[in-house]
Amino acid sequence: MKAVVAVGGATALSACLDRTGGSTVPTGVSDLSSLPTGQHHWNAHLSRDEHENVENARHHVLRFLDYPGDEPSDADRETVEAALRTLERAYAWSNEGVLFTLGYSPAYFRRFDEGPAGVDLPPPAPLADFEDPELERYDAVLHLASDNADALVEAEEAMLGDRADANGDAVEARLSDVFEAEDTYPARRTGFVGGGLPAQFAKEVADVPDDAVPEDSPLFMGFKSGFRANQASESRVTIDEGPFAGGTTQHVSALDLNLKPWYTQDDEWQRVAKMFAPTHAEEGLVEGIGANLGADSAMDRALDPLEAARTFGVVGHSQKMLSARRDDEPVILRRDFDTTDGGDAGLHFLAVQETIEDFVTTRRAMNGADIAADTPIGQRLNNGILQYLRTTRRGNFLLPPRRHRALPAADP
Amino acid sequence: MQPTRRSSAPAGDDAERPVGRRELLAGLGTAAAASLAGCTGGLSGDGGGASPTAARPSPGEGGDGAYVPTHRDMMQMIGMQRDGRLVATLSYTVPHQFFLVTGTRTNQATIADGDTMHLMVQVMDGETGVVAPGVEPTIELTKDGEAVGANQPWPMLSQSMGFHFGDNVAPSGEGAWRFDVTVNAANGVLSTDLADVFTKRTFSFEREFAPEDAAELGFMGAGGRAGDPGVLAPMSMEMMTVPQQPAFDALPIEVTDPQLTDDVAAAVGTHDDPAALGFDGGEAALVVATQTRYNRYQLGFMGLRATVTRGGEEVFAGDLSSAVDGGLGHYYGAATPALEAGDEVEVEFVTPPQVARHVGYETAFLQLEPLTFTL
Repeated sequence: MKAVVAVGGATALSACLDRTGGSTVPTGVSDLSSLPTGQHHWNAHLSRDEHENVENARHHVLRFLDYPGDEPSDADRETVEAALRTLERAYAWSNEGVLFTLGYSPAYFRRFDEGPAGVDLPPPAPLADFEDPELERYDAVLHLASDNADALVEAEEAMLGDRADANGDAVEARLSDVFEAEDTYPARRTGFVGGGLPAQFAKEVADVPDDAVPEDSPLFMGFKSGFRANQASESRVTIDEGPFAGGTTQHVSALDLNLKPWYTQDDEWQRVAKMFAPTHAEEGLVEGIGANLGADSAMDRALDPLEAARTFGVVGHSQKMLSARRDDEPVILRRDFDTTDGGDAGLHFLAVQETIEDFVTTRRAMNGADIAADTPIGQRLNNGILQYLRTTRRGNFLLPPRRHRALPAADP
Repeated sequence: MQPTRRSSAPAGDDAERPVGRRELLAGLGTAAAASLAGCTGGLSGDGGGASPTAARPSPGEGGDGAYVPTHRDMMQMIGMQRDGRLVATLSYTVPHQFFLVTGTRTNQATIADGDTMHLMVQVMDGETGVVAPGVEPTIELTKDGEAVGANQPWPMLSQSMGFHFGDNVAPSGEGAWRFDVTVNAANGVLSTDLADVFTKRTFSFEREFAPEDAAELGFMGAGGRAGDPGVLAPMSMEMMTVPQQPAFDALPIEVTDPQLTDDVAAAVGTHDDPAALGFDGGEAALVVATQTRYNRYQLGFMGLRATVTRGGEEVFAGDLSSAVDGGLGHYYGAATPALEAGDEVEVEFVTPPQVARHVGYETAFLQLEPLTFTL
């Protein structure tokens, strides 16, 4: 299945449907009340592994959109709502159907006199001294996700292409009736996550060493992530007051991954030390991709990051993230996925959290600048996995609750 | 072939005399953006890549000190750029074997299929010649106007190139290449006169060439010295000299006699103006000057702790910060109470230098014993 999602469009879809003869995709509902309040409420509708870790959908598309008008008209709102209801009718709200969110940026809200009521939605900014990301100026972003690559591309074509039906239902309204949507990077981004996919897609890009990515790894870097104990709950990331109560904020960043040093210059000990903690490497706590860890990454067995950096000259990524917890719970819910956009290995780091500040706090913990100031680790050297990442884009969005998802006013 | 151990010898017995830093700086002049692309010649490298010669000693656990590799490779400078006081040099040689260091572990980085060259960045203050190790650059590569990827090179030590940032990279094909090198603001403590020097900025280098040509640069054998304790001399070329630390006896403060541990040379002194060195508070600054036993290279990304006692009473105990000063070079230091002649300073090397090692250095600077000095 060569990159159906990455190629996208009607051509990829028809090739795909010809090959499979069209598989059965579960259909959705027309009664909105049976769907969750928050667009980001996916967890109850995703699959789980044997440790009750939620597994993200396997295929993803991000479409960045611009709304050409000034203040939105009611007619446009109705079109957007009708388009999204088309998706909900056509596909089950699950990993087997299609999950989606539609988010709005600070740039979108600039057309109103004030920003979104009760929500601090700052423009994106660089989050480390050493990064120079492009800062998104799009008005909106549509995130589509499914285990079924064909259904995903079909849903995308129904919303932003010219497909006349979606899972057998007639398409009565499209997002492209209202939004401007370019169909090439960076306006269109794709990706995947889940056992087998990174190893498969690694073959398509030149910058991943041959056979380096473990066959069963869900991500390019060779380890499992998204342990239940390392993810914020959906209730924690949900905005609880104001007109956007029930919604959440979303940060979308694009990261280049440099996997050659990770796989050909570091050894397994170094990879475990840098991803988890040096004591995890010393004690052999991580087998293979780390599925043996169960539902948490055993951070109760890791040293304080400063002590680890002094003792071992290296601090683990997971180890640093402990400081970003509040009440011993993480504050962001990762829904990130790998990509081969542009022909190189990368990661679309997408996360939802109650406030963008929660994301900033988390990313600053990952920077470990305070640890680097006092120990032999560098700004990137032996500082978790920073040596292998380069953030190229950042964007902040508000995911309104479902009731306000269609071109919301600032104070709906 | 294991290097034969030699009994402890005084520092510098095997080093050829390098060209002084100030001679280099005089040659560089003060013109902005002095691009020296195409400046050729000189010798570099140290036994990586396409070595035709015999096997070199296998990496040990450290503690054996440095040894002479089988050969050194020629290098080619892509350019030298100056922005204000900051000078960046970009050069390349054939892909090199090197060793990453994590704690006291070393791991040999393999040369990947497709690697065409070992790309090297050096960054220094053009006025004093001082190098701040914590600038960790990013290199974005463009070929014929099209972005072809980025590299975040490792801090490294090479016997002939000294401290630099380097990595094996795989750009290919004849073309108009551009290398945008973004140097980060330096980590660590900076003297007040250097605070505005080591700031974030980008240098662009351009060159028409085929990176594969690095394979044609050639090498020179080390002859009968290969495997012996000691090192190759710093490379020397017309327009570029390897940055070195000031000699201990050339420091602007008085320091103790240097001592050695696993080819790290260290000496201790005090400075009476900690604020000028960039430290907060304190009546004095404890300065632990460190350099490689041979060639006077700086040793960045090291973790040091010091305990100062006077008549058996502890006067100071704490971690030292990585620091740079125009006169002291790179050193480790801390703000302290007033220190006196006769104070005893124990220096513990908690973490050896976490810089990657070119061949001949992977056996050195790893098993570091505490050293005790008397002020």
